[in-house]
Amino acid sequence: MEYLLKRMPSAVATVLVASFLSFCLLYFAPGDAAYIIITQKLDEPDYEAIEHFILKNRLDLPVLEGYILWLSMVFLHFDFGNSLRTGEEVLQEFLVRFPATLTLALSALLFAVFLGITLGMLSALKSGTFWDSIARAVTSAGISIPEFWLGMLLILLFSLKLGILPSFGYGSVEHLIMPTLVLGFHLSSRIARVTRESMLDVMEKNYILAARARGYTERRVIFIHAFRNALIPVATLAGMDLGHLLGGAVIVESIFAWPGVGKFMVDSLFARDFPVVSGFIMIFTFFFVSINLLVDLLYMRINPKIRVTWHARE
Amino acid sequence: MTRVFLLVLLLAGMLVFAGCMDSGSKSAREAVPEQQVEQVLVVGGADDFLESEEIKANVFEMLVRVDEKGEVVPFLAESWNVSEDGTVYTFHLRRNVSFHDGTPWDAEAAKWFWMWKKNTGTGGFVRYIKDAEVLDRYTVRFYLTEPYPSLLRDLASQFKAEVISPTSVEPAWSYSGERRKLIGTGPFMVEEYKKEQVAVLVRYDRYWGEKPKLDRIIYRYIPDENTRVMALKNGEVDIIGATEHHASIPFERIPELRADPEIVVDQHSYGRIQVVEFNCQKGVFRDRRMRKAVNLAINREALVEKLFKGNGIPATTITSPDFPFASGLRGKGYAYDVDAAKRLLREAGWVDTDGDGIREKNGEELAVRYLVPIGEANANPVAVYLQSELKKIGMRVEIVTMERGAAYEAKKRGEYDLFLHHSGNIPWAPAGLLLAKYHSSSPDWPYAYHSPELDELIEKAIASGDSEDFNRVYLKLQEEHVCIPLYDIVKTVAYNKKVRGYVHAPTMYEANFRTVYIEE
Repeated sequence: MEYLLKRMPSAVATVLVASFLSFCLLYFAPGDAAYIIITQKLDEPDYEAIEHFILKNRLDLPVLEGYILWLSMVFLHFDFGNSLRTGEEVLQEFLVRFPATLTLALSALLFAVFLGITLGMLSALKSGTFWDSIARAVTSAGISIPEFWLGMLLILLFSLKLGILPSFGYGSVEHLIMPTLVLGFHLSSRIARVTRESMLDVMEKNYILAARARGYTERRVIFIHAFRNALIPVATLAGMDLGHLLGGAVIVESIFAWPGVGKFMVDSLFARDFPVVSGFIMIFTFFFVSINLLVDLLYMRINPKIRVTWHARE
Repeated sequence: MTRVFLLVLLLAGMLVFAGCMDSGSKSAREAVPEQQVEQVLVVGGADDFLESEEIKANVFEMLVRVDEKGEVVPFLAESWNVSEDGTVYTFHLRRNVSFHDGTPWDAEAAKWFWMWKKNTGTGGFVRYIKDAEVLDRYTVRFYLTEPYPSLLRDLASQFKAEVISPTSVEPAWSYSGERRKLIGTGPFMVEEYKKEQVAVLVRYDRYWGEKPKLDRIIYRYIPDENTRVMALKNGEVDIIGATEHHASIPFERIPELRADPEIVVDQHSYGRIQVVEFNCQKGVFRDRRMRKAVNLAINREALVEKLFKGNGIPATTITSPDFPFASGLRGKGYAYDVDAAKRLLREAGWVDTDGDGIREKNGEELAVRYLVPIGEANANPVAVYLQSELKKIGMRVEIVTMERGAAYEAKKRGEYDLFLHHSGNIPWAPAGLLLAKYHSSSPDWPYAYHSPELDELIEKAIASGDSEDFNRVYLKLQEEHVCIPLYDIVKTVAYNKKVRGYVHAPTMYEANFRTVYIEE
């Protein structure tokens, strides 16, 4: 608890800085929200309408004033403003899409952690053998195959050839399978690599030698003594990945028509819809920071020594 | 402490997970047709339902509409007359029309619509709205603050003037009400709408016109173009390409769809032309001879044949001569004549002195910057093709691809010699393109072709609204070589062969499902 309180100020600062940066970047980026949005709405530019739009949405304010106005609305009224493009509340736009993103993020992460750790352990324990080569080939493929291509291949196989999965959509477990595979496969490869390195590293340690010398079974040495210690970098990576996943998965969302936050965010970026972009970034940063905190707490569970070190520093 | 926390988090995650799964699957099941006799069309679209004017055209209608020639014809109004001074429009409304919730379409509803637009609308005619008056149940009079000759064309635009029910705003009938419901007068009404997922439309049985044959249209949002093609091949959707006005089926996948015996590919020209704009104010293309040389150097037949396997129609005029306002362009198209192009370049002083295949003048190489905004149809193959064609006449083309917003800013600053774009060709707005691009007051295209003479012609055409006057403008533009027309981006619709009776709508902004039926 104490630890959490200590970490709070820096977490809040991170969220603020991120939202300010995103606000400024969008403000200074070439392109003009009013022009892009009005032209999109009418399919031709209309300058009086653009002028009106600018005044109505206070787009004429200098960047700092605009940011402070926006920020004060966020903190005083918990109001992220309305999307310039859709006219709806930013928070609403987020909440409508977030369940889809959360579902996909958790399922992809679960799949990735399971597959990644399995492959990584296999690779580490059978280091240098045929199994190691297989596992490493799979992980290389996972890292290098682009998501859109893998997605298309899966659709070809499962939808067109086998006819067992719908090629797109949202709503049932069948719809979730292919997006999970595509997104999870990529992540699992990174997790596998880290697991492998970390396991190999730990297995060299003296305490493993000591454990073996005590005559523990190999299974006990690996799963109790080595695995637990090897898990720390894996947990960090998985935590970071979850943070990324909660920010949406643009390509996978597009391919499988998955109604998450990612594609909406990118479309908003193209339209310079800054209330959406800044609001979403603020929420994403909040998730990221929270997850990081949780991962740190998780370390203490995995390895109580960290807790001790922290208290000692006090 | 941490353990409890983690457990709670895990449980919460699982609950949310289970929650979405459950609610989702129910509605997905409902959407599946239950009886064989029910006529259901499943549409795959690139945009969310609310952002696709094309699919919404089945739900909402306008006071008037335009036919394929761009002429204004009756729709929810049967006839109209305009006062001498052009500020009073009297509309005689169609009778026996009702909105989907039963609200009658009459002069009161029309007056409400006009006044609601005045308070909440944007663009076009809205700023000229003064007042409205109900003359009798089916006659309404609209007053303008000053004459606005484009009013009828604006009222024919889905973008600007789709008619909604006064009961669809909150509070109902308020002139400044906020739009909350999707209630129109069209042949289909919205039964269910899930943002960025699906919209289910059902036939409106009290529709005033010919009753559609379909019972239901299920509109599914599929943003990825390749997934749409696969979903069609897999039978998960019945039709694609209908609900976007841009080329939404990648041209390179059309041959594969044509080869599939289960699929019909149906193409139609709306005179929307892909063009490359010249920078006529800065750089080498200030010289008309240079622009003409480039127009002569491009083999449009080969472009369409080689790059698109014959999909698309070569375009040699800056807008389609099929429009009455540009009919004078017929027979005035640009020819393909490389020798003539080379002669023009030589005349302009550009000669290859060092034998590297690229011409020089005063020690400077003939190199131009071609700016391509991301998202234009077929942008990449076209860019490479242009580059290779222009190299043949000794011009080096540097291709610069940019995100759209950034590209448009660069365009405003004149940081281009060539810029990939498309002709507007909005049938209800022959003036739109002229004012937005070629009039010297255009804020977006300060580096396009401008001249006082052209300004005068454009102003005259807009004031009179006369086709003859518009023709003069388009002829002038054609003679000045203001852009490079490349090809007509034909609208390509692909559907399962069980879909029958599909007819292309008069404008590219409408997906016409009124006549469609399913025959297994």
